Amino acid sequence: MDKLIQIHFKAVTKRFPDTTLGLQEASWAIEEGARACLLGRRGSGKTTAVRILEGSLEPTGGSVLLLGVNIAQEPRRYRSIRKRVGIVPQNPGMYSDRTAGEYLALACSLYSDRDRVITPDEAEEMLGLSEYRHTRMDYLSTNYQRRLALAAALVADPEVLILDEPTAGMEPLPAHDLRNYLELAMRNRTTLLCTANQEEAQRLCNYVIRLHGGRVEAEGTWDQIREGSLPRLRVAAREGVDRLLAELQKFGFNAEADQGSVLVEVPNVRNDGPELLRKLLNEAKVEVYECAPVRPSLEGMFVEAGR
Amino acid sequence: MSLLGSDTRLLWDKEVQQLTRSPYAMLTSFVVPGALVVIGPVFAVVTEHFKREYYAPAPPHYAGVAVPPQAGNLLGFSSIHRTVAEVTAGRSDAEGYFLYILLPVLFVLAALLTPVLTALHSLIGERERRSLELLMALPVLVNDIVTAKLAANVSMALATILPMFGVDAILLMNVAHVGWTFVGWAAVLLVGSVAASVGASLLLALTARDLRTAMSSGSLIIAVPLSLTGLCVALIPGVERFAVLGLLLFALGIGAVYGGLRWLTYERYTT
Repeated sequence: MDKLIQIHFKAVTKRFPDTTLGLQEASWAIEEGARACLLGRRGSGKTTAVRILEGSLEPTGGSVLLLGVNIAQEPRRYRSIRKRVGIVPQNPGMYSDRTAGEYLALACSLYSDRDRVITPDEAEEMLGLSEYRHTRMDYLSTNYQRRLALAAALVADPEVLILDEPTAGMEPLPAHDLRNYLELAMRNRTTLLCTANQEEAQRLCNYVIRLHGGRVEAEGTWDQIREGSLPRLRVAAREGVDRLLAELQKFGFNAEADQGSVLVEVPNVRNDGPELLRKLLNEAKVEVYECAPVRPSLEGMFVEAGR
Repeated sequence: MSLLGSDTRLLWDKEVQQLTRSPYAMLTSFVVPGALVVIGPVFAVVTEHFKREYYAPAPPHYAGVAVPPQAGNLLGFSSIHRTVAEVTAGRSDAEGYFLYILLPVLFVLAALLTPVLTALHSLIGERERRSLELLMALPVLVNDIVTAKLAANVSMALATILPMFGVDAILLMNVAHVGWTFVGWAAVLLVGSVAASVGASLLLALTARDLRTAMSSGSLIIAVPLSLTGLCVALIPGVERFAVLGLLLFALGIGAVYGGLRWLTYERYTT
């Protein structure tokens, strides 16, 4: 049986009043239980997507379905399903006149019509916040501020968890600690993590949606993304790099020298690899002694995509 | 607060709690209406009363106002003089001028400014310090957040202004000998002004990017109900000016809320 789609963006465009495009015809679907990430640089449209999901922005084109409910078209149903969703905002400001405990109590009471709502004490316990219960929110360190936002999102044991750059601006050690909590929080629930940190995305997510300039550039598992991005073959021949480059140019391939061999771009490694090899061996009479697909590093892939 | 939904009520509780913890909000809520609704009127009515009791009546002034004689020919001033003259039969010029000209202006200022000043801090301050992000992450709609904030500011304003108005009412009825009609319409004027302040606060929240812009554009937005007040005071005779002005301000407030949501939308507040 097919899994339910819990977050569905259908050709979503968001144009702001100053005509900036937040999202352009962006489409993606996240299935129940998936740990997906929206990966992209600043301004790629990640936060716009989160804001549409939290109901504070309305798409100017297309539609967004959260737990099967069209956010813009069905406000009443959206209000009820919103209680099944936990959201951790990006770098939120903290109140100077409320304590951590009071904020969690507010979150608990707003989620109170859910079957399973944990108490503020349990939420504090879960994220190591107990000793800061009576601390003013703005006095908490960044690490504990983020934990507090996460605790508030988890009080109703949500089916869907949306995390908008939860570790952005944090020092490495606290960020590492928070990722441990995030890993636990994401277990057994559909998650959408927005991040510009590829390492974090790889550690926490099994599905990636790559955004660039508001458009979806690639979508799939990490392996699918690697395979679908700039496939290359590393080719080496006894005649040397120059001869190889000249022959490849004759056949119309893009190639560049790299560490005594040549990297050749091919549309599809599995289909085009054998054909390329036959041409080099039979037609160009080059003695090829190495021909292997190169798996692009994710970092290189994203740097290239950014260009 | 049964007019509000359950989520909005919870947010309203939070907002009221925050307002009562804010020295700025408390100071605004007590000092502005205190000065305009209690201290000003009490001083004016009581001094006029004692002047009447213990001193010989002052020679008649031009509608109770010391102005150069030429000013009486100015458009508007002559109508104020006429309307004052119509309603101050049996009163001194100064008392009539105060009750029918100054008092409505003081009421409008108090009921208009108090909620707007506190709302600026709670609506725009929340966005400026980015704690709005925290609220929007909770399972509520932006509509709930804004409604709760406006309702909390109005509640706070009414909770301070209405008791102060009670003091005024007792004083006016016993010392200045006004009737229930006067007091009733004055109450309508206060409520109408509060409604206009809701509209002004919402428009400011939707249009101003920060507190500084809000403060400067606030004077433009508030200029509309204040001009309306000036016109009503000058053109509508008698105690009816309280009623007409109150209802007009109420309509202005409703219109501003409708227009703001229809043409500006909440997105302006959240982005």
